[in-house]
Amino acid sequence: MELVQKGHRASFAALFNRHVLSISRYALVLTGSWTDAQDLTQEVFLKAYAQRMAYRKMGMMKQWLYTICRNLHIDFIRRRTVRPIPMDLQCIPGREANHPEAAFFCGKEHFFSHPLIREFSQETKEILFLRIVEELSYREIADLTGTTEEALRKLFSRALHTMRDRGEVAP
Amino acid sequence: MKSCQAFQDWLESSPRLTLANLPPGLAEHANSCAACEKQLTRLRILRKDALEDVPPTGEIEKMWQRIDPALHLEDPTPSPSAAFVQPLFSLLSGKGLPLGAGVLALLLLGVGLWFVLGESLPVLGRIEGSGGELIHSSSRLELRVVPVQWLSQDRVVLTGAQSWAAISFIDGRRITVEGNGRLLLSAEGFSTEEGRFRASFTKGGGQFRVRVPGAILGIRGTTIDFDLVGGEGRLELIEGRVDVVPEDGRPAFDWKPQSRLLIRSGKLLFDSEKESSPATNVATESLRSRPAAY
Repeated sequence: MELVQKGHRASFAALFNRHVLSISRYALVLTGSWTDAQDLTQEVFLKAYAQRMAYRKMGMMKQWLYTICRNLHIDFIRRRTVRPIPMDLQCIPGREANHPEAAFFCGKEHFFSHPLIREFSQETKEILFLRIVEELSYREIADLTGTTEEALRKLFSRALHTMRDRGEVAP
Repeated sequence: MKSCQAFQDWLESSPRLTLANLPPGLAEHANSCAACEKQLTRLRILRKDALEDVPPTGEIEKMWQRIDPALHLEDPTPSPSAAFVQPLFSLLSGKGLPLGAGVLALLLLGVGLWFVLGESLPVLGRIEGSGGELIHSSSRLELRVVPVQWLSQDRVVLTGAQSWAAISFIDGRRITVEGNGRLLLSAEGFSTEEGRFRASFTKGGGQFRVRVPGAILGIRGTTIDFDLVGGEGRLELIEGRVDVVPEDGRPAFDWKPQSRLLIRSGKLLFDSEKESSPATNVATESLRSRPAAY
């Protein structure tokens, strides 16, 4: 990161390659659409480069990028007056023939559309993603989301019990 | 052997849910309790599936191709001090005063050239859009809905029927353009030679000046349809009022809404030059209806 702070673009390219998938996945959970997720991810890295001198928490790059991603998404929601329905949340039969993104989604199950997950609120989905997939600690998630650790533990506990019950009844 | 509750407690508190080896006691419980074993398996599959969520093929490369040029825009032009001062001192110390004087002259020339040619471009605002390109010096950046900086001398080219661009200036002014066209922004507004587009202007801290073939438009916040090809065409004022200053020395006039300006051979067409003159004495005619394209 020190090289990036000196304006070394090759180092920033390496940083991009290291974190782009994690940030894309998080952006996908936040936006529910690969198109929006890609725009958001792009903006995250542009902002990270623009604000590289503000990075102080050495060794916590991913959390820093997550924070930028989350804040940008909040700004994005505030800016957008009419939110289009994320069509790629579902596979529409026939649409995949002329839409590569739909083809990508058809036949694949994604975290936010997984039967165990999709009924949860957006907030719970985000917490479950950060905890289960990214394996962040409660402290790290609390720092990112501005929620208390205790509230996160309760929310995660309830979600686990719900998922366990759903798993029991699922075929 | 531990209970289901102990297993749940571990799931809730473990920093690594997908740890390969469960703590002593829990492994035995998971082996004997179908519900807990199933829950753990489902969580692991959920995580594995989520980690396989990657953007469609080629999208990461495209993302980087859009980010990389913008990094160049973010960096200011480097200071000339490192390039000139350091070699000067090393030469002065090694070769003596005559050579140093020559180098100093070169330094002054270089600094002068830097001020003329290498001055960093000021940021005028932000641009977002779709279906076009932002051109900055030699680099090109595809217009995206993600806003990027708009620098002095930047240009935007809209190329598709559904193209649009929105430029928000630091002083609060805003231009929205929809259609196909070529715009060249200046510190005061923009100039355009050809294109078929609708432009809406929101006045903030100052006025817009738009140069078209044959005239300069002083815009106070309005909506205009542009239809220009090769120095000819028409402009239709949908709403608002615009001051028009003809470039051929004729007096300025106030362009009223719901009328159109005609441009022929790079000049405003006046009544005396029109084949069928309307009743007005300025180069406008009333709009009967808007073009179907809009």
